[in-house]
Amino acid sequence: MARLLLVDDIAPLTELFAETIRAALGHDVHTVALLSAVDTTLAGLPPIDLALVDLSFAGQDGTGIDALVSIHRYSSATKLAIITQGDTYVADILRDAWELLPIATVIAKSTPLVAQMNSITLVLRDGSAPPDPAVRLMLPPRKSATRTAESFTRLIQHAGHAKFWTALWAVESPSYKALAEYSGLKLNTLKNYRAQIIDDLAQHGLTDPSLNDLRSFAIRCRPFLRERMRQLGTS
Amino acid sequence: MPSHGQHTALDAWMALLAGPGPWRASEPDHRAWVVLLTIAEVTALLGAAGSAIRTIFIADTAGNRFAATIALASVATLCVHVIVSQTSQLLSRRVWPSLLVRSALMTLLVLSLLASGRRWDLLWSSAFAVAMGIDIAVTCTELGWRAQPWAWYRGFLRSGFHLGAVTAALGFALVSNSGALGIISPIFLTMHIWIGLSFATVWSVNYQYLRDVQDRDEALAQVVESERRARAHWLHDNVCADLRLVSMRIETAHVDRAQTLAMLQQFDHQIRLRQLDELLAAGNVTVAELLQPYIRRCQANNAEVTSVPSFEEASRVLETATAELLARAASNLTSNALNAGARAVGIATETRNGFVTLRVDDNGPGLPAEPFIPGRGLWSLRTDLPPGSISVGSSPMGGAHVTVSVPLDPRSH
Repeated sequence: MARLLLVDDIAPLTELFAETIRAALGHDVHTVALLSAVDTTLAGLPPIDLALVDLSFAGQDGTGIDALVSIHRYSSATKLAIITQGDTYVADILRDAWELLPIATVIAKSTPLVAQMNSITLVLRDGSAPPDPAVRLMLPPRKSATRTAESFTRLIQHAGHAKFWTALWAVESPSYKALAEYSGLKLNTLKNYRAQIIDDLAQHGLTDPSLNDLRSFAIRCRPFLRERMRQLGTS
Repeated sequence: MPSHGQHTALDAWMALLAGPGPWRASEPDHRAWVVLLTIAEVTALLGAAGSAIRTIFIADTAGNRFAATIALASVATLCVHVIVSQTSQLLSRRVWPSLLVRSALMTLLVLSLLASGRRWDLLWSSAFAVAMGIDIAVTCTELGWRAQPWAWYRGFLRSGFHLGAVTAALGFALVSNSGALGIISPIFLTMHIWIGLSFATVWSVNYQYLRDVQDRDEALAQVVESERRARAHWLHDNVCADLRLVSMRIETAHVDRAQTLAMLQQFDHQIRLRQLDELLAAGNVTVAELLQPYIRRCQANNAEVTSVPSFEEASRVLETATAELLARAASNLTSNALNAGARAVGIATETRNGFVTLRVDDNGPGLPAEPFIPGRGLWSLRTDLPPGSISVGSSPMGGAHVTVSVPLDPRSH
């Protein structure tokens, strides 16, 4: 019997899914609906064998990537799987998670339950399973060798860069003026920071990004950026 | 001075001198009035060029002609800079190059105009002030600053620069007995006319911009309202009615569990098709967005999807007309496979020679000898595509192999 953790914001559906897994596969399944409760839930449980994490958390501060990073940081032995509707509005989050974390499989919520149970069994037995065909369309066939969690060190080279990213998280409609007012940095300094990291952003799929593109990226990849800030002592 | 939060006046003026290009937070704005503004700025600069040309012709000294030629060259370069910065991102996205080039050009231009003109001749180059006003207004817009030209003008009158210039001019006039006042006063008044014209232009452009934003917000609010009503209508007419049908059938025990599940799956498919319709109506759609409902439908009908297009193919963006035809093809081909009882379906796409080709293989019994029955899906699709766009054969999977090629530009066919 394996121990599973389901992280999904729709609690009644998650409980039903947990019950289905218990009944069909006999595993010990735990659930958590709040991203902010993932760490405390992990601390209160014995080691988890497989975590199934949704990507979209409406009304919560973060995405499934935050939960996946927390779980992976807590124990790298825990297999990570994504369970998602797989609609294209989560395509960027899905791609980032797929490329930056050791994701064992991606399960589409629309797939019949039998297929979902098969994927879980395969991951627990073999370590991985093919992603669902409906979401495979959105995944690059090969993960980039250079796009790793470590590659975020180039995006925050000093405390000034950290202020730039922090301002992007905070300012909803970013303009240089709004970022300058939030961060206290000069307009030209902000412009220079963007220029300094622009080449390194290309490996994350951002070519000459607008400030809105940068903000979306910053929110999706917040755990990786925060980790780098923590290393620099600027978080 | 612009309203610029905690930043110093020097920062603000440097930001304005760098021009609008470096502060653009997204792609260049090509709305009609922004394009008109660019044309107006270039026209105003050409007006200033006219004054330099006039000076070259009427100048009575070689020095005046030389200064006017430099002014003409500066104006021409500024024109090129404005046009390039609106049509390309190459020259205008970095602060320091833009700041240095524009500062040097403007300084050269102003000094050359002063050196080449005689007394009130300077007024001929007032068009330059209009160009500067447009430039300042556009830069303020990109920076998100609220232009306050009258407050700036009052600030200028009280500034050390202005008061110093007035004191120096008066002092020079008092100690000089060579008619200095006659030389200084045209320059001084022209400077005020330039600044006044410049700030009046900023005010006009800002007024037009605010009206444009207001019009856009109102139009957007109307669209949002009509869209909300349309959605409410759809929820009532389609979603609620279908849900009511399912619940009534369950209540009256006319359906078993498998039939209930099938009804809900059909309902789910209809919602996903509606989602696709919305995406198609919104504009360009990716191959992935287009194929997902049909892949899910195969899975819901317990048919294994053995292959799907590659990430590169699935990420391809299609124009609406192409996407609509390809969606019809995907609907027909997967429905035919499922209706024939296929338990495995392979889906692929390929883009080549101006066509995107959808290929569907299955392990069903294969298509009939004549699959194009008048009035049915494939027959109807064939009538909307160029001849030879649909081919039918046997699949290595044991069933049918059907390809449909849709032109990437259907209007050209």
